[in-house]
Amino acid sequence: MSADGRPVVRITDVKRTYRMGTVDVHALRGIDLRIERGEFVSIMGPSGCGKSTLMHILGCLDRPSAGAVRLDEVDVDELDDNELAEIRNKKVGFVFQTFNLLPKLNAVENVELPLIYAGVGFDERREKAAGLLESVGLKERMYHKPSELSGGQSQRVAIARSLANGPSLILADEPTGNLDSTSGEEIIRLFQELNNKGITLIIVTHDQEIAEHSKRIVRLKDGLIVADEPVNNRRRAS
Amino acid sequence: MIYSIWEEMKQAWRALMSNKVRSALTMLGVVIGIFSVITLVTIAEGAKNYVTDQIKNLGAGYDSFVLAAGKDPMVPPNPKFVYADIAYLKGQVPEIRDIVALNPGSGRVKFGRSETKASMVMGTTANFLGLMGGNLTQGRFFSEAEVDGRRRVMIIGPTIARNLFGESDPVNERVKLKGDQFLVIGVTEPRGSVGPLDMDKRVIVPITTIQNMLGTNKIFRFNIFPKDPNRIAEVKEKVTVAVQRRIRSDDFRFLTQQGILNIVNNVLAALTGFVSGIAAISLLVGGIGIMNIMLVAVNERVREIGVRKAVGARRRDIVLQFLVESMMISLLGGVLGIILGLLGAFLIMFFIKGTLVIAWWAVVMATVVSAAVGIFFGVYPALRAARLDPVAALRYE
Repeated sequence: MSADGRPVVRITDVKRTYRMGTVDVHALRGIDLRIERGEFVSIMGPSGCGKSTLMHILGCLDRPSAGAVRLDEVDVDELDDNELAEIRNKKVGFVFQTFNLLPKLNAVENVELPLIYAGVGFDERREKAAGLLESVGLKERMYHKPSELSGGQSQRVAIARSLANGPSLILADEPTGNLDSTSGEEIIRLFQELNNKGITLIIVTHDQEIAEHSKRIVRLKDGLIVADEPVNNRRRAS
Repeated sequence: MIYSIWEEMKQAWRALMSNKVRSALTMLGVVIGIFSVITLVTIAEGAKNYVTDQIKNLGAGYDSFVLAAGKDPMVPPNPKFVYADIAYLKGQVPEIRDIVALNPGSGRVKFGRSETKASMVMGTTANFLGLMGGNLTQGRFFSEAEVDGRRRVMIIGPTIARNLFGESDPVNERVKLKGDQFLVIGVTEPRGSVGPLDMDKRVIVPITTIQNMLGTNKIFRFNIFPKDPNRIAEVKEKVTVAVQRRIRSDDFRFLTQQGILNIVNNVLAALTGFVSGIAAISLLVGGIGIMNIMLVAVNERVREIGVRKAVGARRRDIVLQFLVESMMISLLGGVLGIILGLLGAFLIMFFIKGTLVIAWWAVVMATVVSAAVGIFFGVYPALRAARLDPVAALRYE
């Protein structure tokens, strides 16, 4: 629990229904979740349990069919598309399984992307992006294209990008899913370091071992939370 | 806003450069459209200047107009004007300052064993030199007395002088024209060509003398100089009345600088309209090509759009990104078309020995139009990109 007691995420009775042809698919069927500043939460569950949908809603990429979403004291339901874009830009950082770096841009330009949309001028932007790359240990790879980077390096560039605008929350969707165990371990260690600096993290994973590096595990099944408990013997990434 | 456009331009440039062949092919429609318009407009502008310059040499300058025999310029005239009409017209229309009479003809000039090719032989009055411009480099012009006396004197162009006499002085030499002996009394200064007529190969003789030679007393055309050049229209009307009364016919016509310019302008306008139509079709096709390629680009970059949205791009950022890209394709095509068009016009002007006059209004308009084509045809693909659902876009393989 953070000192000020104001949660980063507070969602109440969130439902999300998709229409697939003539069938309604209930991806989320009433989720309540409160995440405090400085937490490190894993969301786990089998395929199709709704964890990706939950992450998209937490990241303001998608809207719930019903229920309330409060992100950093902002009622997200009331925002229009442009305001949602601004939330994604300023308050949320995404880390994807497939990295999702733009292949034509080099590492530092990829990190600059959120800063461009935040309207930051070139010099300031470049300085900030370079600093972020340095903090993830990739300073000397600044001008490399994603095709010239390893999977682990790419994911670190993506993490630097997610940090660009100083977000309240980092959302990582299977961040180690495409990495070998060594690189995966590095990424988890980086996450733990970031969390130690006070950054709130939510990772979606189906890997119990990865989840045990976080502080709290939320388990989903069929669109509902079935378990929500702290990690007692937390692993330390070596 | 300005700043983000600059950012988008840099990104668009990279997107275009990463697909050079495709970008170039996409531009082609715009290049061809703009090229054809610029070439034509530049040539037309040059032609207008050329014609204006030359009309003065033809004798219908800004301070005079031509009264010519024959209503229809396509039909060989049967002139009814005579020498005495000069005095008649001056008497009837006091606003006339002076009148030069002109009769065209042709013939070979012979000196000893040398002979020219067929030269333009012009019969005229003694006031020709003073009113129609030009100077003599040697000798003198003929006098009114020589016109009245039907004297066989001639003034020759510098090319004839050189061809027949080389470096020696032609003045006071005797030459033959159509079997008659003439005395060379002067040489005109070099003036170059007016359309197909080489003024430097011209022979000028008294109008009465050429009438004698051709066995006629008729005159083909008068150049009428009003006292006030601003009142050409008024003088023309009075002359019309006087001439109708005199020859009891309306078998005559006027040529004014404005009239000739109007004809030239009409022809050029028709041609410009025609080519503009073709260019418009070319731009339309080019624009559709751009739209097509932009739709392909959007489809190729669905995932990129998803990522951009995830990191905070608003709809208008995505719209701007694709609009700037399509505008850039079209604008680059336009600029290329302008350069090629000016080059084409320059080459054509070079071969017909005209001067290149760049129509800056056309250059500016071509730039604006090509940018507008890119924006117009880029709107639909850009909106499609902006409307993509970020979640679906991120999942897109």
